[in-house]
Amino acid sequence: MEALDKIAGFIGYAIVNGEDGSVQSIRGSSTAPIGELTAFFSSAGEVIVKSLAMGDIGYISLSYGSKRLVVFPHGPKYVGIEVERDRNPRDVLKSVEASISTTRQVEVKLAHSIRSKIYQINLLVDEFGGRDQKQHWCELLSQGLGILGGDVVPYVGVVNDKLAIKEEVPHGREEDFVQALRSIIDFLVKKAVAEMGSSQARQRVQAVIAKMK
Amino acid sequence: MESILNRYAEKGLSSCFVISRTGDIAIARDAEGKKEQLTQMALVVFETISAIGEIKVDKIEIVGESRGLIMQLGEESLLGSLFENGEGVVIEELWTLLEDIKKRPAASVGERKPELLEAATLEKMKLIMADYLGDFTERIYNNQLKTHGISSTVEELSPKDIRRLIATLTKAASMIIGPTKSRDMRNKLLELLR
Repeated sequence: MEALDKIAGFIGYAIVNGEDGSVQSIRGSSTAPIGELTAFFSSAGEVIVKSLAMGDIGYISLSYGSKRLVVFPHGPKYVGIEVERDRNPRDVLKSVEASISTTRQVEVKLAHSIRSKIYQINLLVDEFGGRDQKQHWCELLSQGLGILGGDVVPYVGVVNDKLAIKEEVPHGREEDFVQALRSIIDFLVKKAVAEMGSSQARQRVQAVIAKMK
Repeated sequence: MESILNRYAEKGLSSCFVISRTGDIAIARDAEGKKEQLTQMALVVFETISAIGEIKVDKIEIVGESRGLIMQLGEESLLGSLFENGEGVVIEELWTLLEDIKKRPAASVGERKPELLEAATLEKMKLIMADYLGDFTERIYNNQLKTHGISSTVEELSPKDIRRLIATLTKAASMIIGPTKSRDMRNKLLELLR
């Protein structure tokens, strides 16, 4: 299901074993407990469709705050995908079907300021993570996106260990995006100071600055 | 309540029901035969919601091959409709009718109005957060308000909503300042509710 990482508008997703309800993986930058929500509601959904003779589950959609979780069966598993609340759940399912049946690459045009910030974030993750800790820093990046990204989150995601823009940024919103990405840079640097000390963190930030010149 | 539900059944919203957490039920005439199953279904929903405390799910849509279910959840009751799924069913139109019922004062059974907090509580929370999160405060605060669907210009706040907000603010803060300081922040935020 790695194809889901690349779909525009998907904030995060969870995969749950349909047999025992165990959460197999959670990806993306959602701050909601999407693993638990997917597990509990897929199980509750099975009980409900049976008692009300509704037929096999097509999907379950849960709305909370500004978000929506669309849960659907996929073979022996359940997948729960978090999107913005105003997304239609049936469109979410269509996006999944389309992404599984195509490997089309989407070319996204970006303002220089946004491209530069994304480049800087990826360099920071490379520099802080090195060869051994890359996964850990990708996870921190996803967490940072979740708590600080705000409206940017549906448009970006960590794809193949790199921060990538999945969809064109709406016109006039470039500055909001740059601000959000700047706060994620601050977050990563703060984490680096906490984990490796200020002198080591400063050295690595300077290495990134040198690469950006 | 039943007469309202029957009226909406005539408008195309089939098998409407309102069920409280305590099991009180009001049901449209066309759903009488499913009363027991709907009550059991509501029990499953309330139990599932209770198990996930920090998230306030306010709408549920379950679509099966032959039937669908839409539900709007309050703190103490749920309002819903069970419909036949097939060609020509426009779920958005069913939601519009359900929301129309929800606006009516009689659209709940067993719902109690909670004591509300003054809106200034939010500003006080932000001041406490700033001591711990510095420059990150504004962004985390705004993102979490949006996540919980709380408007910053709201006049009154439900203590339950604020407790949920504090729980997720604490979780977010923990990623920046660590668990000890974020627990300290949470305790100060919770003092505002006392």
